[in-house]
Amino acid sequence: MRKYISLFLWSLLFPFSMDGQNWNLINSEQTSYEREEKSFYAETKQVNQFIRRFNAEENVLGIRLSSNDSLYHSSQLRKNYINMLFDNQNTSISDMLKSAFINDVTQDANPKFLDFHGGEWFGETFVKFDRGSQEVFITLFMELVKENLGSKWVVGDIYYNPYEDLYGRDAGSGSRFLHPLSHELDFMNLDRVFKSGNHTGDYFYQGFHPDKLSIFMYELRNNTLQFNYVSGVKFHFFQIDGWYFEITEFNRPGLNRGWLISNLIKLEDGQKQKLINFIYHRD
Amino acid sequence: MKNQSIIYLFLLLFSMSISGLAQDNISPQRKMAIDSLALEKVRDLSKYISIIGSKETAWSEANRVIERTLELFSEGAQMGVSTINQPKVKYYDIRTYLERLMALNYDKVKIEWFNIEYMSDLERMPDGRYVGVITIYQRFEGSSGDKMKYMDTTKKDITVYVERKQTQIGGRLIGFWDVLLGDVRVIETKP
Amino acid sequence: MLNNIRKDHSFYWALVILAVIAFTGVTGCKSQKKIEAQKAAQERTDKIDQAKMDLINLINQQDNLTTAEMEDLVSEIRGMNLDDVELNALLEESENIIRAKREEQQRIEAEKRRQEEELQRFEENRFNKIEDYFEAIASSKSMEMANTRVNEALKFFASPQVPVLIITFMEGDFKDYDKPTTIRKYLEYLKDQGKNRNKIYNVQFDSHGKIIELELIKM
Repeated sequence: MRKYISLFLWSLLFPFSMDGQNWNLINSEQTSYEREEKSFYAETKQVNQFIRRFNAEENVLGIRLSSNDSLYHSSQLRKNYINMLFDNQNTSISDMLKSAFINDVTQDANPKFLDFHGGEWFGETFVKFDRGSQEVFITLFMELVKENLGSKWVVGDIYYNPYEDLYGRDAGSGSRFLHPLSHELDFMNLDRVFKSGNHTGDYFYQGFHPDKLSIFMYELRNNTLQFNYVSGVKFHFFQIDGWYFEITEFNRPGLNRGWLISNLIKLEDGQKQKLINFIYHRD
Repeated sequence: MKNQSIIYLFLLLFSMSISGLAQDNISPQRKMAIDSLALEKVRDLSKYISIIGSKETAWSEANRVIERTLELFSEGAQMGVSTINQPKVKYYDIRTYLERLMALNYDKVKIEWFNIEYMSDLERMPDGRYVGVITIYQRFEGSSGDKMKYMDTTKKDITVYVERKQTQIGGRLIGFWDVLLGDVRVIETKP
Repeated sequence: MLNNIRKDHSFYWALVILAVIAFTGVTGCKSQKKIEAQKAAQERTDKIDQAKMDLINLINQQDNLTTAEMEDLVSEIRGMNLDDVELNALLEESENIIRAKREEQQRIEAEKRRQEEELQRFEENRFNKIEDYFEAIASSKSMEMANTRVNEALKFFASPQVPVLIITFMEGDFKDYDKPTTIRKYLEYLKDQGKNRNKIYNVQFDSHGKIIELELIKM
């Protein structure tokens, strides 16, 4: 059984090493169990496996390669693996871009690897909350940080549209203020401040910016928001110099499944921070 | 003089951190043994689930096996279950999940495990324990009479906590790895 | 002339003195040898007496000597070459005693070895028997059969709570274990899991021959 899978996966990796006859033989002997098992072997089952495949740190059966194995970090194996790590139903990533990326990360002189603890990657989760009778989705940005001897994921930032519009300066901001003699009237003009809606922030200290995590926490604390479930997760990688890619989990039939590259961008100078800000919805 | 003592302090701290790292240095063979211990626990879980789910298991036996299964888990561990048609994740504590499995209303239940176990690296947590995730796949078939009533294939991502502990037995100190299972994410999957 | 006589007298006296000296010297040498011979004879007699005494003690086993010490004593006395009829008889008798002692010791050691081997065989059998039970429990076709075997296997143990340690990794003297369990739980584990992947590494018994600790090793 394992032999078949191994053969099959090797044939995936090295499509020209097996002639058509053998191929048909294997196909015709497949039971549904074997077919399913094959797709589970092919699936990139964990983000951890994505990283190990990207780096060629495991064999086709998912068994870790020892660092003195000739296949460990082998650029040929990496080329084959990384080619499989793309969502092949995504036509927005051109073949040219894909091969430029693969060639860049596998070049013998300067290979580029992924490192779980290397930073410059983060998660984006879409979480469903109940807000009264309303169902809302809030994006939580998850960051891996070191603590003591180990590490942990923390909520680094959030994105929730209503929190975004709490305050913004506009053309009229300059004319909204409490005049310097308001104190003589016991600040009776605060009335105007609290009727100003979106502009209330104009009356706060200079440089004020609403802290979204604090508002989020407050709403959780007073049960305005109630956690429902995580409806989706993706990860953004900026670890490879000059590149950005995003990975998403695909739960679908076939062999191209699991954690796959769903977006790839070649970064020009200065683009990296802009893109990070864009993902975080930061201005 | 002050500069010199700062350098010494730095060197001292540096050497301390080096020795800390060396202590954490577990040989690849020993790591492999820990991995296989963790995989063993997941295999045990798979077998227990098959026994609990089987209609041939007597009620008292199933209850005993549920207790043994619960011993595999850390306190408060949960199952988060979702199907393809319903992306909503339903949370169950492990006992409820197992009791529901025992009480399923089919004449016959067939639980098969695929020959795949994928284990992540073990990562250290801030409290010094290690954590890993083992992925396995299960096929479930429930039938009544001659009719197949329900069938699904699920991917199970199982959290594994590994902690170094010591205990006194027969007057000697025994160092052991306490492997406990944690939250389990169950996703229906279409092969 | 007088001078000559005087001369003659002095010569005579000198001769006398010389003769006296010579005579007394010869007789002094002779008596010294005699003394030494007497001394040697006495020493030999003393040695023989002492040797006889030692051997009599040995024969009567009053000195609590080990067989090796007895052998040393006899060979020491033999090395003195004290040719004495009585002593020779005692030596012979001592050697007979030592030989008998040696034979007795060898017999005891052989018996001890035999007993040890028997015990080892017995324990190996018991190990095998326990391993057979483990295998039988894991491969039981029915729950009833498995339960019967679990109860039978438990009889080898001092109590169902006897600790079971499972070695998961070993390097030199260093051992890593799985979480310790009890024999009841372990036997039930074999029954539930239907697999027996651990081999017996060490067993500790109490004075009644019941197992009080079981150490297994993962295969």
